[in-house]
Amino acid sequence: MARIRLDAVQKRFGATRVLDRVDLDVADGEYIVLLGRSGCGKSTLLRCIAGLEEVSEGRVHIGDRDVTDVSPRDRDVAMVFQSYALYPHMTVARNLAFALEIRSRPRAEIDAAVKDAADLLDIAHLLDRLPAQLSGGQRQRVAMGRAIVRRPAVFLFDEPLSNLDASLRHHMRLELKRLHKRLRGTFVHVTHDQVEAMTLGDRMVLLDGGVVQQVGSPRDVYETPANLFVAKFIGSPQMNLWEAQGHGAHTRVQGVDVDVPVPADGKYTLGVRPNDVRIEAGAPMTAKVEIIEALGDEAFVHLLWGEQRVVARVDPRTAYDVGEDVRFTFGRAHRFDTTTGSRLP
Amino acid sequence: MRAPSVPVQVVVHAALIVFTALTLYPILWVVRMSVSPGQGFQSGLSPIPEHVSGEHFRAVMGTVAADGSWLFAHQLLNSIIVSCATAAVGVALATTAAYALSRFRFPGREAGMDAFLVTQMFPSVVVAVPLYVLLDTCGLLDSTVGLVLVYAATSVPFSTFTLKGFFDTLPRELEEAALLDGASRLQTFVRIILPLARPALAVTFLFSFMTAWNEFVLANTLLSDPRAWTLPVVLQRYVDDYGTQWGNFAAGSILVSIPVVVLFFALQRHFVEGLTAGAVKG
Amino acid sequence: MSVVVWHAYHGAEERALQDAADQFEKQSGVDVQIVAVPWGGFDSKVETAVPRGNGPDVLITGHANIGKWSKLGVIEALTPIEGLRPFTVEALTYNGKVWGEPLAFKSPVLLYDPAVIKVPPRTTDEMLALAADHTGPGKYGLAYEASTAYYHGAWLHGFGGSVLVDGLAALDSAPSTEALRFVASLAPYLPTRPTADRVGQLYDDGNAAMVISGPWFVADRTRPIAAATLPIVSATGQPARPYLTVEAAMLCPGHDGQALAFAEYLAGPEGAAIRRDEGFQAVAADVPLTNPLLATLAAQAESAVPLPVDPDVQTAFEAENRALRRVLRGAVSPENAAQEAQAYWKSLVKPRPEPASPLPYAIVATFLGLLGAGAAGRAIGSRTAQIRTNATDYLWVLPATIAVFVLVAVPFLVGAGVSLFATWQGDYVFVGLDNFVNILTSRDWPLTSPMSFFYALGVTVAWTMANVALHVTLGVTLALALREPWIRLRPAFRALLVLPWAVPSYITALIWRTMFDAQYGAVNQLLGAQIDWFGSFFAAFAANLTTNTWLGFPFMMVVTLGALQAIPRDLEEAAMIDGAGYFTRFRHVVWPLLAPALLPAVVMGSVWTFNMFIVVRLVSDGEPDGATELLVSQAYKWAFTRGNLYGYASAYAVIIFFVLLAYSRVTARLLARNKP
Repeated sequence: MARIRLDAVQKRFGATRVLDRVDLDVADGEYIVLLGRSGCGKSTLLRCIAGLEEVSEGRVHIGDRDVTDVSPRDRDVAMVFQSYALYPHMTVARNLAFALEIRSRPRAEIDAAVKDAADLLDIAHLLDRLPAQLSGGQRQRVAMGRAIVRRPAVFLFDEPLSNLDASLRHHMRLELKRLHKRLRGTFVHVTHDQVEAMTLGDRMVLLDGGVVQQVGSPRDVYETPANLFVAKFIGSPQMNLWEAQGHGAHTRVQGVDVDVPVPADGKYTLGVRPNDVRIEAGAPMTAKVEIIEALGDEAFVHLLWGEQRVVARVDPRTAYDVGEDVRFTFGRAHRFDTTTGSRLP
Repeated sequence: MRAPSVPVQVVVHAALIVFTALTLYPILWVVRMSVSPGQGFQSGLSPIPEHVSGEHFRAVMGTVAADGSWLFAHQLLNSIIVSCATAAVGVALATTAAYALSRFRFPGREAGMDAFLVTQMFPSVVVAVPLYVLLDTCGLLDSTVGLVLVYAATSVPFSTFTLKGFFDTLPRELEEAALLDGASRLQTFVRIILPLARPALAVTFLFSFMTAWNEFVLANTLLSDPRAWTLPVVLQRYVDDYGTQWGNFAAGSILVSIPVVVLFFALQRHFVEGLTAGAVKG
Repeated sequence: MSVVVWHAYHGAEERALQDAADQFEKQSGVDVQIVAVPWGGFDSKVETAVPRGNGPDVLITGHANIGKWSKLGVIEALTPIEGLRPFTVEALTYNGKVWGEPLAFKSPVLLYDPAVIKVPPRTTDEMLALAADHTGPGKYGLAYEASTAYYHGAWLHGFGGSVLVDGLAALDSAPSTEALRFVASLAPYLPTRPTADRVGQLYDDGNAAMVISGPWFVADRTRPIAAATLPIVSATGQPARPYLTVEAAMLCPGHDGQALAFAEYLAGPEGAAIRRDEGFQAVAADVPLTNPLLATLAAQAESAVPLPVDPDVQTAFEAENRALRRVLRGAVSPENAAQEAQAYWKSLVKPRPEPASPLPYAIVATFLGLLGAGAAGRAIGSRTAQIRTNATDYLWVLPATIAVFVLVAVPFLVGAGVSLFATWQGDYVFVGLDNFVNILTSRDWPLTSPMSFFYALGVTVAWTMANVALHVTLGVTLALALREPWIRLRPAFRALLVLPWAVPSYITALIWRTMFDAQYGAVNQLLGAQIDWFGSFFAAFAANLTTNTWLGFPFMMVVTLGALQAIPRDLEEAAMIDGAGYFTRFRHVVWPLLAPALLPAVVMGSVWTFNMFIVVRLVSDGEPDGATELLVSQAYKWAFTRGNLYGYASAYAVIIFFVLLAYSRVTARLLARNKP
């Protein structure tokens, strides 16, 4: 079991800076998710931990060791690739056994480990098949099996669920969670899917342009986004954002007086999650219903508020008419520096 | 994949049959001369032999050395040893080089690839004598080793390029997975890459084999002892400006072709069945 | 110790030689090893092996090479035994010495079908009349390789001419012209440009009443055949005087002490009797030759002219061959042909270039070498760190690099060095870049002549492009067809279609040549046409191209079959769902993925095709009049059939190399540009 520590890790490809001074501390047994858009550097970070990429600067520690210059094979990490990277010429059993065979473990031990992993992942009946004879979900399980069979200190997952369909993805998410509980390993999981990140991670790391934007528990990140990027990235639908101007107790958003819980002076970006837009009779602000999105157990109304748009989460049982005027107010609001994007108190 | 409509299938089959028949026509003449009595040349329209006799095959295969041993068997064995060794050595040299050229980025890589291509441009007209002197100096005349080294070196550039092209198409994740599984570069190469490269290995093996199998000029220059001869030299013995022994020449040619066809049959399932399927994604 | 003997005999002659050797072993207790060397590589093998001490003790071959070989020190002079026919000793005499023990003599004679010709003609007029009588549809009164200087010698000498006079060709002399005119008068009764094999087949099929050929022709015949001496040339009253070859046992330097004893035994009465009775040889020893064919040969030998030993005879023969082909084709009158031939010969026998001082070249070479070493040193120096971190990478490429460098690059560099020399009969004279200047300025020929470098370059480029285009088109088409699962018997088709690659090309190329025969060839019969395939450039080029396409497409097909494995079919299926037809799918899905994988094969294939001379040599042999020669086949001819001008040939090879290098630069640039 091992913690992972990254000290000011930088990665450059030629002149392009892919990772910029990343510091990260992952606790032993923690499930951490790296989240960001494609090209944000999250996969590169994972590959730096694995040792598949050499870091340009900085150090990587796994457990008590500085593994910056250690070959991937000696880092005691396992990885599940987005493409699974199953060895196509080997049966499932041999795919699982390969890592142990390479390490010349006794046959009996290998067989036992393969059987354990196969049982754990419910793929025991597939052991004699070739990867080409498996379905996508089965391949995914085999890829995970290959990682867990040798009980490494660190498990790395590179978008492991992205090639699965929605229902299978949901199922595998739970499976991953269960796996983490049983194995008690340190899990590092890369994804671009915020739901995956929110549901799986003990903590999540948001990356953009090679820079860590925020590290924290899903709750923290959702509740107190560290900057505009995080605010926009987390939450669906996206947080409502407006340019705001504050004068003492008055706050104006493009000429409209708004009622914010905690007013402040000066120009800033005001953010309110659709959850926190409350439609109620007698509320101070008025807007016109433009679109209604009913999703069954929840619903969103899109409001035209002067020249601005507001999205509000509403009770799906309440009926709204398009064109109807409604009154609303804000619950919790976030303030961000418009130029730097960082969170204001 | 869905098959096309029946008329299209029929047309394609018909075209294939006609083309194959035209392709085989000259070879049928070789067959005809090999089984017709007499050493005279034959030609005409119909390659169906009028009389059939095994005399030429007996003559070609029945040669005996001065000490009474079966010369043809010696020479067939020489050819097989030389060609297989050439293919083995050539492919071994080429696979490692091709893998490095495909995967590693080191100074001189581009220049090395250019240099390999450039060697193919040397016209062979001028190399036989210097090569003779070189091998003579090394004491490798009349030896299988010398001949194999020369052939293998000749075949290496093409094999390297073909294999490199194939390695380029193999997903890198497979090697990374193996690396994380604890395999060294060499283990990854031997246990993951080589088994996957079977189609390309089969093609380059066949190519290297053929480089040696039908080569005459160097074999004739470098080998003086009939017991060291390869079959192309034996075959050329039947050719003479004064009059070629067509019956023996044709029978010998057929005999020389058979192992190639057998080898092709043995190898063809490798280059018609891909293994990369299922390596990545769905 | 044993006496090693190299020879190129076949059949009865080979058996007789072995028997004689066995007899000698029994009598003397000396071990004799008889080694049969392929005829095609005999001379070059001798010239390579003997000077390095790897040759045999005794060589058995015709006398024509003694001029060159005595100069090269390949053979030693000896004193022949007594009791030999004087003309055989004479033929082996050069510079006042005798260079071998004469064994047997051969020359063309008149052979005829005794069932058709009752009395052989005594004069050429009679021969013409007989030939006319026996010529009809598909039948020829006379068949021989009329367009070769070797057979033409009989008439040339009969008219009082000679190929060489005082070492210079006399191809435009009056007798030469007369002889050409005579051959033109034979043309109506002769098959068109027959090969030796075609003559044999005509005779066996009863379609040739008379044949001019030697004893070798008689051995393989399936019908009775009779021999007579060649007729008297009616115009001059002189006998036709064919070329005579005297085969001899020659001694190589450093031979075993018993080698001479064996050569003498072989030439002497006992050996001669064995060779005469078992090998049907017209032996040089003065023993009776009673067999009718041997008696005829002996009679013919009285008028025959030994093949000249002067190395220039090769070039004179080439010029004469050209004249004969043109006259027989009716392309030119005998008078003009004779003039042309003489001029052509002069262009072949270049004046030997002036020796150049190697000093300036050495200075420039040293300077360039230092410059190159400096540049390399800097390149390495500036990347030392990178080289060090990647040190183990080099281990992967090292074995292949060393093998290719030592066994491919070094021999070529050494061979290329010869291009700075003029070579003539084994003498090497340093001439600097003269060979290159000569070739690149086309000093000896107008640019449009087939002999000029630039003409041959044009032909070679056209040849390469046409071949590669056809190889790729056919190879890819077949590979695509043969991967469709609905094709029946796919493995069988694949295996059958690979056969042209499997069967040795030196036999199939010859088969193709005969298939393009104007009168008997299968191609004309199938097309129902009367095309003279080797009479015009385009026809001959097409014949070469067809042959090489046939030889080359299986390789492309196999490479494509391999490359197609890397292309998943689901991509095509996706395109199919998008509504793409077969050709759209091919163009937009398959081809873009296939092309990079085929690239090495295409680039290398074009380089090989550029340097592929076996097809041209065996099919058209440059016909008509050298128009279809490629750069390499020109180089080959300069090296081996035009007086061994190795320096000149080597310069050709070096230029070919640079042409290909330029080609690869251009393609590399084009490819780089096309990359996304």
